[in-house]
Amino acid sequence: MSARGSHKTLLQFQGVHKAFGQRKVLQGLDLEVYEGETFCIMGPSGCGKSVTLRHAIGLMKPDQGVVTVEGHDMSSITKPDLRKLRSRMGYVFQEAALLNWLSAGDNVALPLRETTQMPDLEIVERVRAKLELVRVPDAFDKLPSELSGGMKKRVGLARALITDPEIILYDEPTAGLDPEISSSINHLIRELGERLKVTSLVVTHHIGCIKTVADRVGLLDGGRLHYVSTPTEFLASQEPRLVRFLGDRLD
Amino acid sequence: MLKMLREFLADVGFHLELFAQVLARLGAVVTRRELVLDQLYQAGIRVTHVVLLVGLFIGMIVSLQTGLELARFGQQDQIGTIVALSMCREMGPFITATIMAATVGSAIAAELGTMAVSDELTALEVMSIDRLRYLIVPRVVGLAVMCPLLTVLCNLIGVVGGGFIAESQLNVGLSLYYDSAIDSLTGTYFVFDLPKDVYSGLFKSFVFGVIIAVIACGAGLQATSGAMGVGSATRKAVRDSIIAIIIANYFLSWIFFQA
Repeated sequence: MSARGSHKTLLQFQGVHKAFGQRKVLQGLDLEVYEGETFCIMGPSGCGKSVTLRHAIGLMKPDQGVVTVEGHDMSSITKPDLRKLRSRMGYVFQEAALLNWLSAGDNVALPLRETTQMPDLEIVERVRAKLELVRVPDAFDKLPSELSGGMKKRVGLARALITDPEIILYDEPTAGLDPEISSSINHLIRELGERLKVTSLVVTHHIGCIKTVADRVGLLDGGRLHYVSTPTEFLASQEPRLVRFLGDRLD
Repeated sequence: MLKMLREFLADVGFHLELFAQVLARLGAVVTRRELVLDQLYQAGIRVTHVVLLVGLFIGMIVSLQTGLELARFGQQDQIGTIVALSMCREMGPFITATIMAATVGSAIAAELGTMAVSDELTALEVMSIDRLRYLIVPRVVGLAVMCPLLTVLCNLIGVVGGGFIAESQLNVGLSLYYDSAIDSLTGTYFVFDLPKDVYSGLFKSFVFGVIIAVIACGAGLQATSGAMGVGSATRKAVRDSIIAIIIANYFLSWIFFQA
């Protein structure tokens, strides 16, 4: 059990199966994420990490099994309840998924402008505070095309944080970034987890990421989660499958 | 063959459902005024020069081709009537719609397709933002409004172009040309004092605008598989729009002039 997390389960997968045509992606996935912890899922490309995240936010429904978030069954949740639940969740996309015709500030403001009646002045204040929090205060007026990869990720993170979510899902937060920027993003995720007390589910294949951000980590392979443990135990494990997956990445 | 038919029917069903969803959200025109104005600009102002240029030459072509044949029978005085009627009834709406499908429709499909393959549409869903209200309604309204307005310009410039040819190539005086053009359009009056030849063309143009927007938006929303998927969506949007416009054109012409 993590230092930060409690034993209250916020997000749970029970025997989840998902297939796309003949390709079975999830085959009885069991997963529990506790309140306040950061859980990392590692795994090879195409093993179903992003599919797992999409189930967690209700973008996909399992063929079999149950996904519950804060006690809501994501297969049978009503649309209004799903909207309410999503307003308490944030999702950081692999490529940030910023709308390219809106400035960074307008991108971050979008959820508040479109789903709340908040006065624009207050929205702008909150946007500036979030951009400051993720350390890109000067990005407000810049278009996504004017931002570097790392800055885009930070703006995407600010957008996920704008509604003060209790759960944040990260899809490969450091993919495609150089080691220095990756490290700064990892520390930012860790810091946000500690300061804002959010529960995070992170999918990644970067060892640096799990070392910095994870309270617990598991390997997704063959549609199931294996070797769930702390990062230290995970990286020290001599389980043949794990050793094979981690390989010389330990260097 | 059966599979193709099933896919075709599924595609038609998808677009009809999309159209119905847009109708149910038309209130977004008021709440999303800025987005609608932006789409009016994208669908209108940015292609006006193309419509004017093409309309001018279409009028000139109709005038020259038809005028030369009429001259063989000494009937070139009727050229104003023919150019005005063909521009208002068919050429104006059809040419404008084709230009709109090729420029605005393809741009909409590419834009939405890129958003689809880069997770931007998913991001809207995750943020509980109704992408139909936010993205689709403004685009459908933009095309539905601008298509008839640009058709008016196309008709006018086409008649003017026809006049140049009438005077320079067919030796028909401009006043005679314009008199016969105006006389030909004063048959049956209807709403807003518009003759049937004009309002039927404008109504067709409005329908074409809706068709282009719904097909282009549908193609963009369904795009998958990266850049290739975006290219495929764009091609599908233009191809299907033009086919649908031609089919709709026949039935609308039949309703207005045969029924």
